Amino acid sequence: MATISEVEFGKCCRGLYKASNELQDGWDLIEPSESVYLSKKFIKAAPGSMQANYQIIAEVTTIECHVVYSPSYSCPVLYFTASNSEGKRLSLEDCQKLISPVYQEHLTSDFKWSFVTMQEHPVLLKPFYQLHPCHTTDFMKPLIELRNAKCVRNYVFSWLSVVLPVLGLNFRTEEYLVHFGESRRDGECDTLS
Amino acid sequence: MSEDKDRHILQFVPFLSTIESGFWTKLAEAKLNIFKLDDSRKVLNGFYTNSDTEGLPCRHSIDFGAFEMKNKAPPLCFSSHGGLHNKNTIEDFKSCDKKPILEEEAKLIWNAITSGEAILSPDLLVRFLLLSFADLKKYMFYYWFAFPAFVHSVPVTVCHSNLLSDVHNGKFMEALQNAVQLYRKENQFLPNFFIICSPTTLFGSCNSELTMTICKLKDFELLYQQGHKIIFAYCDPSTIPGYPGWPLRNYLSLIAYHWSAQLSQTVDIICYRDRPQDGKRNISHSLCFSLNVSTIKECPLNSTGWEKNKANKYGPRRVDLAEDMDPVKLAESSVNLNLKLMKWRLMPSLDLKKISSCKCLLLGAGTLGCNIARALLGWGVTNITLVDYGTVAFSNPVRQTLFEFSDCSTAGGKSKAPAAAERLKKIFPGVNAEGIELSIPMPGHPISDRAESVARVKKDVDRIENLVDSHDVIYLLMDTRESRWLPTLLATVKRKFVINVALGFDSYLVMRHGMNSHQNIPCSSSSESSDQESKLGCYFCNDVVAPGNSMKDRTLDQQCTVSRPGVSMIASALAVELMASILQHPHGPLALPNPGSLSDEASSCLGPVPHQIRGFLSHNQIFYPTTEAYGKCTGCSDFVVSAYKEKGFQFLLEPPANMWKAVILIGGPEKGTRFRPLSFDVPKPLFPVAGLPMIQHHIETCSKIDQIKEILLIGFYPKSEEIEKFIQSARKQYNSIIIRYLPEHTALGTAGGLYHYRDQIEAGSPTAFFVFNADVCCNLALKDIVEFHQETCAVGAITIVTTEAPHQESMSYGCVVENAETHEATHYVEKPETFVSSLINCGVYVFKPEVLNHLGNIFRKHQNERFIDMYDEDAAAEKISLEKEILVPYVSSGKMFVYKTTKPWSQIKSAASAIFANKLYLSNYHKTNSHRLARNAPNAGPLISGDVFIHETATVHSSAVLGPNVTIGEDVKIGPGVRVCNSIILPGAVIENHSCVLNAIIGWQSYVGEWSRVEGTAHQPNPNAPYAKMISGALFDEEGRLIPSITVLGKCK
Repeated sequence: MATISEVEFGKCCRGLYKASNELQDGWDLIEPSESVYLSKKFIKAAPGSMQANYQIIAEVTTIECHVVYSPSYSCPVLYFTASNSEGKRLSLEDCQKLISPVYQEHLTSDFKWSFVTMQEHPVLLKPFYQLHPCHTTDFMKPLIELRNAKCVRNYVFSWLSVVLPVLGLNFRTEEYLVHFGESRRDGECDTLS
Repeated sequence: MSEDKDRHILQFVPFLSTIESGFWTKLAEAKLNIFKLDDSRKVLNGFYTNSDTEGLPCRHSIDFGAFEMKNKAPPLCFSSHGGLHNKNTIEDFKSCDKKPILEEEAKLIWNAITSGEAILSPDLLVRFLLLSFADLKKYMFYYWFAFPAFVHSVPVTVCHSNLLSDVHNGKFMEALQNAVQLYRKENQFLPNFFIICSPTTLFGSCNSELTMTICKLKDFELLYQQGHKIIFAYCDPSTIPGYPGWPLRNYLSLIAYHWSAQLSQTVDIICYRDRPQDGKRNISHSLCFSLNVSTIKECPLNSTGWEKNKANKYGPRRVDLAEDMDPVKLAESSVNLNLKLMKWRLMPSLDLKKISSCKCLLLGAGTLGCNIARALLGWGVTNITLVDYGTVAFSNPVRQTLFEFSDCSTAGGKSKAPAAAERLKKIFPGVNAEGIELSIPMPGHPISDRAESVARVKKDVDRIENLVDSHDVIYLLMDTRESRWLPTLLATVKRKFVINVALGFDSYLVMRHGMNSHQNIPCSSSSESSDQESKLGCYFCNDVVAPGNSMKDRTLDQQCTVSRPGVSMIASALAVELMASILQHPHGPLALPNPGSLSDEASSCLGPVPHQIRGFLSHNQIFYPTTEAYGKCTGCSDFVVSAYKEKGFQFLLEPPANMWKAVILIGGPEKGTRFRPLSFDVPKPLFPVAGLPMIQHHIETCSKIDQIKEILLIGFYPKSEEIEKFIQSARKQYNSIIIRYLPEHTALGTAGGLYHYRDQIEAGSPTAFFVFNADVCCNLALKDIVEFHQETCAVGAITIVTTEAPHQESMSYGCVVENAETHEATHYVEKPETFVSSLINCGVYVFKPEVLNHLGNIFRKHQNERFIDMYDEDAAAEKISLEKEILVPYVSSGKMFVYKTTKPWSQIKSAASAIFANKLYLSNYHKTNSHRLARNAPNAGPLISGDVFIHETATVHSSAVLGPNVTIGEDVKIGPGVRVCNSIILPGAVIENHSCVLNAIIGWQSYVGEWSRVEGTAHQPNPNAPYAKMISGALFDEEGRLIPSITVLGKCK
């Protein structure tokens, strides 16, 4: 079991936020109280978008991902919601359609990922979809060992690099690795762990 | 783009509004709590980005932070400012004059430009207007965005336009990116609009050394005076090559107002677009323009910016957010997701829809109804109808989980069913729950003949029928047995899936009713195929008390309905889970239970599908019995179903048919001592007499009486292959009648078995039932007896069949004294020491079912005696003597009547009496089954003299001489010249050539060699005494000498 404490989670989030700012990856750090969470909006155009003259007519989907700490599972939890350009939330089925076919297969074959439930967002108190954290700590162990080998001791980063692709969302793992690698040479390794 | 075409009017990509769901929630909150009816302009914040990938429209977003004053734009996004006009009614929204509010917003921009405020905070140039109406009852939002911009009197024209990568090489771009990054590091945020101070002009050639600086707009004058080359830049939300995004419009107005004169009306612009590509930021798709901008000093009169809707027309948009914001719908989708989690995590093959789409009818809204409804909610079942007639009493809420104290009242509580339905909706508003106040018409509860009360019952029956029709699963949860009958019948007729739950004090029964696999009931029971398609029983088919539990007084539901509080919850949970498992089974309600096997065939993905679940808290045990449907069941048999189909409601009004049963008491292995050794090898009741097992003669007589629908054999022979085989063949032979063997667990005396199996006897409410002792031989006219019983049954409860016997002989039988006029029995003595009466008990009776109640009293008396008198351990307290404990009391209460028969009658106690019985039955065949009697064939076959029965599989040599009174069993071989007389040759025996068999019984597989002589002494009733019976006395006389009798050869092993 590879768990993480809330303090450590906060540190990891700040480390990732800092890196994201430098890489302009768009992650936002939200600190409503003592607890923090990361947030990022992903935009996707629905298939069938077209350009008419100088305008693009397309249905746009905003997928908002929040990385929140779960005290009961002692690990990060991914909350997400998706809405169309009118602000109407997408059903889970519609969300799945956004996911590229490669990951679709992943979604059905790899069970432990497919537990999506609807939960109230612990901070926003709004209904969000949640990737259930019940297996997180199990699969994180080998991952952490792998990352440690590269001296990137950011739990949240390692976790995101696996979780986001499940939703078909891009995570710039390699850039972060390079970035963290450089930071380490700059003697910043400790702030990330 | 080529030079020629470069001179054209610049066109801008308008913003496409995107709203994140959080905004609508905030708007709804603000409308309810802050704005209320105030529809004046409110300040909003928005944002846009320049890092969208190709193919995305030029987006402008607002999110849940739009109302916050100090809202910062999300990373990589740029702020915009706006005004909200949220109208109170749809009419206000429609009739709102759009021009002034747009001008008002445009004016703000103009003021920011002219005051120079926009130079300091250039984000003030990007403004939007939101006109909206929030219908918070339906969660419907109407809205229309505008992005105000000025229409220049002289249009902006393009001198040069290119992609950045077409104008400059990588060095230029790298320099620009470095400048931006440096700026970001120092200032944290890049402004929406900025200027680039560059050593080269935008379209000029590139020097080898390139250093660029990003500067704020306010630095323009200074830089300009210092002679720097200045490129205007802004973060461009458009992704289309060649077309800049909407923010450029007002940027150009700012430039035109302040600086175009200084720049000789030629302005160089970079539309800065920045997106990640291959792990790096990429700006090569940014646009470069050289534009011709005329100076503006006066506020342009025209402003534009209303957004087109989805139909590409200028008009409002509408979004229905009930799914997202209506708590009811949120609860629904949340519940469904939770259920899906079960499917995803544990059993992918689970078909939730099969369960949730099920319409459930709950008959009874007590503890079971409440708990089951709750469990159904958990499975996502949304159609639940509860039926009950009661009101909530003060004692109910603690056990009946859908009620509260407030539902009770001293003036009579709320009606249960509607109250339960209402509470279900409170728990889960997505449920379609209905409570119907209705009493279920019950059989045996008389309806007065008055037309209106018949009409009222008919109405109730119709309602229940409609309810059964419109639901898929019927739960029977009532507290009386009778009230379950009509729904059972209706559900069988309509082929609905029934789950029945009954509670005892600390025991429960959860069962599902069998279902006909075909819509149409097969007319004929064509032997084997119908056997395979055996149907599971319904509540009324099956004894509710399992054998061995006869210590309990009554069937579960007939007991007082006090039960341990947890029992209802356990049973309810099991009932709902049973339903779930069965609905998942590929065969659904037709699935056959197979508790022994774990193969896929036997269970659904949720596990096995038992027929019944019987649990006993007292010993923490659960059993899973399976019972077949009972062909004469009052609730589910084909007869009742087709009668209801044919006659409908009228059928329910008809009095129950005059239905009779017969019970044959067959005793057990410890009995029949005088029949040894023959009774060692075959249960005595199955000993063949006149070619048929002894008891088959009774069955045959009964089968000829229309009223008799069932024959129950009760005894304590362990269930053996022989008995089973006999029952099977008898069922086939007499298929109009049900024949079953009910084994006693120990010898229960002559009447204990009757009490033990009282529910089986009473099932179907027979008018009366015959009781036969197996070991009597008679050819009774049962029809006469039925009639006699019907004549006397107004007063009497028992008809006893008697026959005349000589004085001396009578004393070894039960003797009856009757009132010659009324035929009422006045005295009964079992084996009197002195002469009492010449009427003797034939061992055949007719009982009214009330006799079973009397047995109940005796049973309880014995139970008490057991404790008081230290009752002998060996004598089971359940033992009841028919003669002493039934007949004697009934005589004294004047409820026994005497039927006299003059037909020949005999007991079959000894082997000799079997020979005599053989004779009686053979002679009776003349009347009933003459085909069974062997006949002399001309020129062939053996010589037959008198009554002879030869089994069709026996081989008899044509030179043999048989008879009178001979029975030749199966596979017997009779050689040439054999003589057989007054004998029974049992199956498999061989009588070799020229042997002689007289007055004997030749055992199974015996071999009588050539020229043998087997001879016994004929033993018959005294031919000189009228009515003389066979005396089956001791085998030895007082002097110890063997009393001469017939010869018996035992079974050859």
